[in-house]
Amino acid sequence: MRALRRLGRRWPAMRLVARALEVDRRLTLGYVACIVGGGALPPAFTVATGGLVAAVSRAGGADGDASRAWLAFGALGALYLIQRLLAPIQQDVGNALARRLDEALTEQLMTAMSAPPGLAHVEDPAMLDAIARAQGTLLGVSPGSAIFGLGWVWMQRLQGALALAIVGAWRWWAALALVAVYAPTYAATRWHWHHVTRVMYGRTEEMRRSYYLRKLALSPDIAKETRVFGLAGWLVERYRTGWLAVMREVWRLRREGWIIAVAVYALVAAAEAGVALIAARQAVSGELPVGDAVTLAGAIAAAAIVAFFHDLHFMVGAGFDALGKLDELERTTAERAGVTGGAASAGDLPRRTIRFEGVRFGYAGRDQPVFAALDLEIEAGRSLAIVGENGAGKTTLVKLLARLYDPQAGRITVDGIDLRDLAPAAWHRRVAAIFQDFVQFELSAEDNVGFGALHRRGDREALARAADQAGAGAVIGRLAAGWQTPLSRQVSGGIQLSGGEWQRLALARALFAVQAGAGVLVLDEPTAALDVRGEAEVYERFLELTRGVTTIVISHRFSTVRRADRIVVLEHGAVIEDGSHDALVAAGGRYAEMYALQAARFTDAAGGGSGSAGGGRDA
Amino acid sequence: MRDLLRGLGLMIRMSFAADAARSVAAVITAAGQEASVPFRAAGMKVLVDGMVAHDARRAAGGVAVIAGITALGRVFAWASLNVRMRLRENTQLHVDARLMALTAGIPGLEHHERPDYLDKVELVRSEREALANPFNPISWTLASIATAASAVVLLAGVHPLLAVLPVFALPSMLATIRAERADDDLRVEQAEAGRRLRHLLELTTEASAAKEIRIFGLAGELIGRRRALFDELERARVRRAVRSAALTSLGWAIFAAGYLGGVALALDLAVTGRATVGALVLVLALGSQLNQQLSEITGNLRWLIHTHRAVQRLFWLMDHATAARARIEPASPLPPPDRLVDGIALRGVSFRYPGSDAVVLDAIDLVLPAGSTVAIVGDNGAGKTTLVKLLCRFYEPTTGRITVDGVDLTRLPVDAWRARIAAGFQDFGRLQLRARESIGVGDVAQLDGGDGRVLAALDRAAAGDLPAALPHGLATQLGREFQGGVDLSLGQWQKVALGRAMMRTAPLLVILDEPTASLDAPTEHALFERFAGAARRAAAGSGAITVLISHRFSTVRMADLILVVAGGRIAEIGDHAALIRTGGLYAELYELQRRAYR
Repeated sequence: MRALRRLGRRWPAMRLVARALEVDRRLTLGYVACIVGGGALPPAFTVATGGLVAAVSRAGGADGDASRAWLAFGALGALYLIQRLLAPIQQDVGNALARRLDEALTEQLMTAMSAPPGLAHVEDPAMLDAIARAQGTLLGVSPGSAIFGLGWVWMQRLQGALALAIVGAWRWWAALALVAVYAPTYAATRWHWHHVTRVMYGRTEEMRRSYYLRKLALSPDIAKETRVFGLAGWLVERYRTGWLAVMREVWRLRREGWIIAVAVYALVAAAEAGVALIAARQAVSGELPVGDAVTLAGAIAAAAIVAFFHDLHFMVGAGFDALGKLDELERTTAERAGVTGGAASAGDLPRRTIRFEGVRFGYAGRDQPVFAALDLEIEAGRSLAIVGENGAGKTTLVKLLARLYDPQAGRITVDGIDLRDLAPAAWHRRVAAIFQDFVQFELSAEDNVGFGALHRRGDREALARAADQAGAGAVIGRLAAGWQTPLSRQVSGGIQLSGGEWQRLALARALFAVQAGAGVLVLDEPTAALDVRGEAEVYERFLELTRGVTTIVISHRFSTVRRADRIVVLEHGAVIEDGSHDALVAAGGRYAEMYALQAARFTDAAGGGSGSAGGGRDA
Repeated sequence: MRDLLRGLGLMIRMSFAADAARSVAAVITAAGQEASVPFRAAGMKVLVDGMVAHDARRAAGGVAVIAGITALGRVFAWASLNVRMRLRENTQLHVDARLMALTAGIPGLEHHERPDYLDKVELVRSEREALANPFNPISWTLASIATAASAVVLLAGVHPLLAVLPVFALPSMLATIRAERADDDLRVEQAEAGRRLRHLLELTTEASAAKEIRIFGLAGELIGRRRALFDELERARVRRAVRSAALTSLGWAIFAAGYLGGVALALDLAVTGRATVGALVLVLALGSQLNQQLSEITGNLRWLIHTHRAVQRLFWLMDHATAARARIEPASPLPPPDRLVDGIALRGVSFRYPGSDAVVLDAIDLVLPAGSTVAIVGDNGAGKTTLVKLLCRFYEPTTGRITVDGVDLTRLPVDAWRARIAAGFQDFGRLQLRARESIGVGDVAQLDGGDGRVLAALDRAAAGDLPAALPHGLATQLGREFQGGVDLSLGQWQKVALGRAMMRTAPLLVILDEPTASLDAPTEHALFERFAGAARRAAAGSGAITVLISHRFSTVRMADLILVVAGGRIAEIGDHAALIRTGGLYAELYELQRRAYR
């Protein structure tokens, strides 16, 4: 196997076969057997045909012994029957192998994308191109299905080689002459196909843009807006224009292939006719038995199968490309993901403080860093609220804290230990989080909460407790199949939750992680979609939920923020205010201003300024 | 049968609509490619007879026929491949455009939200490839049938009994058809599981779930689930394949028996001198090629059935679209009013989602006065968004009716009505286009109207600061899907969506479904100040009604009319002061929120 893999680095077909053997040894060997059979049987049938003709011409002669002819017929019949029965088996085995290989490669992709602890690769647009190619979506050929095409190509090559051997056994130079015309034919047809592929690969991004528009029109994601804004026609038109721009180029190149095609076909036909004529003349003069001549004629016709590069070759090539991309992706994701190194155990950190020291961080493709030199100390076991305008870097701060990114300069320490020295997975286990774009797992309610701490998900009691704390208990109680209900309208028996209900579940997930021992709780806009009661419940329980846990809460709602032990205001990547709610309000700074804006809307006397037309009229 | 004809008709029409010239060329080139087959066998007969008779001229003639026909056949094959490829691409574009227009153009949302419909829509979508090739199996089948027929004529020339050879192919054809049906049933059966597989793939490869996957260490679990699900599906596929293969093999064995019987007959004739050796070779070649033809016909039949099933599902979607249109388009349409005078009224409106028994809205009577701002409050799942969906006509009320200035809403053409709606939804789309387009599509007719309109809309949405926050202003590519794209924070995405909603300048109905859930305090403040001003101006102008769904009572309280929705009914109605005086649900919720600011 290792030798195969070494060979595979230079020979993608071998890599594919080695991979197939890993995935399903029996099926792969079975497929190889089918291919060898499918390659050897037709030439054998050609020989048998010649044998039968020879026997018949002899039988038709003076002595008239037909028994040899019937014997030859028996052999021919057996070969035919086997060939017939083998073909559908080869089809089914090839399909099954392709499916399994594809699944294994998909799994490889999933692992490559989701295993690295960092996030940078997932958020990198170049990666999406690579994924599209690794899955073969662009040319519609998945890497696994290449094994199917490869089987056919090899079978045809075996057929061709054996047919050439039959010709060569008669006259070696005749076989050589045929090979001499096949070679340029294959090269020319191959060049033509590749030409076309190059255009498609060169313009992956453009094609993806078109496909994106198609997806928008076909998927339910923006269905409401598509209707209200009347976007259907526009989407279709844009899709058409983008798609045509790329395909016109492909078509232009394909037209060039025409002259080549006619030229090489004439060449091959001339060579075949030449060889066949010489054989026919020998047969006429009695130098060559008629049976052999018939075999030869069949072999000459059959050998040409190796002369042309056709769609199966293309399919194989496209599959290899996908395979190569996948391997490349697997090699590079860990590095591209950005978070590497660290092996120390996280134990029960943090016990004292988490400290941002001169942290610099910016996203690729943005000129301005989010943080130039951020300093912030977070006290363990207490709660900290972060407020600031949209885009101030609140969520980025949390991503750094959770070590989904590493700082580009400066460092983050936990009880004095550089976060980069801790094993990423170990630190991740210490963190529980609900993000504003929390995940809606289209799985059961139990999974949605239990995913907070996989190792404890069997703990029914803890699950129920987390759900109750997040106000999700009632939601689950209403579900037809309780905890087992699939939360997706796309699954039968499933149900679609509202935004607020989803958020309660996501919150329950984070709280379940806390119950299972996570020491840092991140609440990024945890109540944005909740109704009034839900929000009130959460903030009234805030102290209970966060007791003893290092909590970072991000919110635009001061009702939640003010409960935190400490509040920092983030602006332009720096902390501009820091203190308790009362202290900050008293200081009369940015926080006080923002708070007053919201609070004024609840004080009847102020009436919320000009906006309170309704309230003011009756007052 | 009628169904099949309709399907075939549509397949042919689609192909011709996509590319008429190549549709014709596809048949001709396929026929040319196929026609070479029997002629080559005939050439073979001439060659063999020439060799046996030691006739050099005849033998050379045979070689010339074979070589010429072979070369011609290959040129046809090449032409056919090119024509088919291009035809397929053109048809793909045609089908895609049609599917897009259909899916996005159906006025309602049922096909996107009902599970049993979703299955079908999903299948239509995943079968785009089959739909792109509608004509291919037809042209091939035609060509194969013609070739098989001429082969039969040649065979009958050797012995009339040989003409019955195709009959032996019937069992294998039937077996193949059965297998294809079974395959298709399995595809339908596994469609839902296929979606689950895809969801698991997306969770691990896309950015949206990446944070939680890492923090909670879910990668292994999700991959394991996909593997288990795949294995389960695979077992069912293998079971089905084995059963089909057994049946198909039996069919082929029967054909092989027929073929070998034919060869035996020819052999007997040749041995006894009643036929030439060339004739035997002809039977051998033609018989095995006839088998090739028939297996191609069977293969194409299989393909045809697959395509036909796909086309039927497309039909279903088309019929659904037509019916949905027909149901919703008025018989005697009236244009929407230029301005609202009275307002929008709901009379006894009840609603259940199609295919569901749960009553979401229960006999609602309500008037939204022209020029007013109306806030809808209530718990999650109380029916607030459903009410909005009815106003946008994504669904029709199960009972009761909605009137606009006294005119039944169903009498207004749905597109014309929607053209007068400006809407920002809670689950807004993140359109990964350039910023100017992502916002500008809110008034798609004037997309090229320049940045001024976009900036004005952003301003109305209190999001005038957005362009400055983007590296290339309105030219910035949004989202991380494409090169050079900049991902926005949720709040910034919401600003884009609000800007989009504000593109239309003279709406009759403005819908804001939780527009500020992710906005910061100053933006929220500015937004409401602006809406209040706009609402007053609108009241004087087009009499527009602003409907606001929000959980923030600081906002809600400034509405002219507040609806408290609970359990599908209007529990309370009035303005802030009145509802506070009543001391009901509203007052309780308001107090709950207000406490946080004391």
